[in-house]
Amino acid sequence: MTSHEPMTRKELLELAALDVLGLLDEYEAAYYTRSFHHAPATVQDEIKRIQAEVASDESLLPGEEPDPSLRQRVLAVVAKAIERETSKLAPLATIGRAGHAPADGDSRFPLPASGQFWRAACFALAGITLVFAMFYVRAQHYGNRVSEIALINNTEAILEELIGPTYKDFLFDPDTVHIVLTASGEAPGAKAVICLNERTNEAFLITDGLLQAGAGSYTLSVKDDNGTEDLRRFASTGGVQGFALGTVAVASLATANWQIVNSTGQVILTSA
Amino acid sequence: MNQQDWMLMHRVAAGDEAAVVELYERFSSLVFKVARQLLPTRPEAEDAVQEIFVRLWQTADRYDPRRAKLVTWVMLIARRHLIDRIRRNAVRRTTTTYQAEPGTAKTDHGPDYSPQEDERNSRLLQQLAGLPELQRVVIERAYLYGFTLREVSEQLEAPLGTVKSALSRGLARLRERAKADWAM
Repeated sequence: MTSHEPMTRKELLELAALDVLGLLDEYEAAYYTRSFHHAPATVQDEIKRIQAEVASDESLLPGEEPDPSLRQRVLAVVAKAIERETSKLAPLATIGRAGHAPADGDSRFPLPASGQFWRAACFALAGITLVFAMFYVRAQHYGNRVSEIALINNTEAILEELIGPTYKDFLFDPDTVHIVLTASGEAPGAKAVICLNERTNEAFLITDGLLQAGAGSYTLSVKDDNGTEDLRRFASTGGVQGFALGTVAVASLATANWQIVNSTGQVILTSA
Repeated sequence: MNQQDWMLMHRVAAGDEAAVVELYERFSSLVFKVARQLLPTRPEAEDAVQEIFVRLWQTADRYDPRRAKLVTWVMLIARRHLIDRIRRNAVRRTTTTYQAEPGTAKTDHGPDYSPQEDERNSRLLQQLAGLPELQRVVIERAYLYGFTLREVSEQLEAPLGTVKSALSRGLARLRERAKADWAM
């Protein structure tokens, strides 16, 4: 028998009587209990039956019966122990005990007045805590929504300043092409969109989250069959930013490869 | 029945007087007899019974009907408490001496106490006399005197597994003989 593997059925049955008679030491008893829980249900039932037989077998015990007066002494000692424990652990230990007390109030184990007070105080405290928790969750949710709205408003303000009051008409003009730049592994949180209007040949760059890619300046480049051309160098402060790129050859650049490179030459965003 | 027993112990744990009374009515006789078997005097046994029922109240919320029937749990708590009491009160002294001859194992439970001389265990002692020596000695020392199996193993210079087997088989044989005697 090793301590690493649960006992076999034979071992469990052999030690069943020793377990119930308290003859196993602490380690062995814990090992036995662990093995019991690993055993199949049929074996567990068998052990429980055997142990109950051993426990209730009086054939080896003396025939003496307890004195009738012992009953009152035992009940009084238990009641005193409960009362002592209740007062020692008050107020917290008294929570919930009233539910088990007889309704007629003639209990041997009554709840003291201080217990009533502390129970009420605990319930009140629990209620206040719950209300605060609800307020906190709602406030946090509200704060998030406010941040989202502020971000949208800020973006609109930037675009309006860069593009003019009619920026919405520009952005949603049917002649405007949107080229989405996706983040490389260097800046997973960064985003950028290039807007090219095929009718007016105007171009705009909108970025978000570039600061996470590292402080410093960034360069917007376009690469086609003729080579790479740097269109705009800019600095990012994080958040949403917009940059006017002026008039470009939209027809030839719409299908080119756009990329944003940081100051160390790493490609942060690309349209590829 | 398991559910009822679990409910009973749940109520005992909550300090329900009626539940404590029910627990006493069901198990006081058994607990007293076990205490009487291990302790030399009736007053000591009665004191122990009071302590055991307090202990049952203290541990009631730990009773798990999936692990054992209630009578098993009560017996386990009672036996452990009695063994602890024997050791705590130094009723059994550490100056015990042992002799190899059958029937001469001598353990001092107090100035005037020896289970072999005690009438209350006469039935058990008669049954013990018919067992093989190793089983008899192991039962005396572990079952009656509260020595741990490891201690008995060291005292007898026998492997722990051998002591366990001897005790288990000896107790089983004792119960079989006792039942047969009762049936006659």
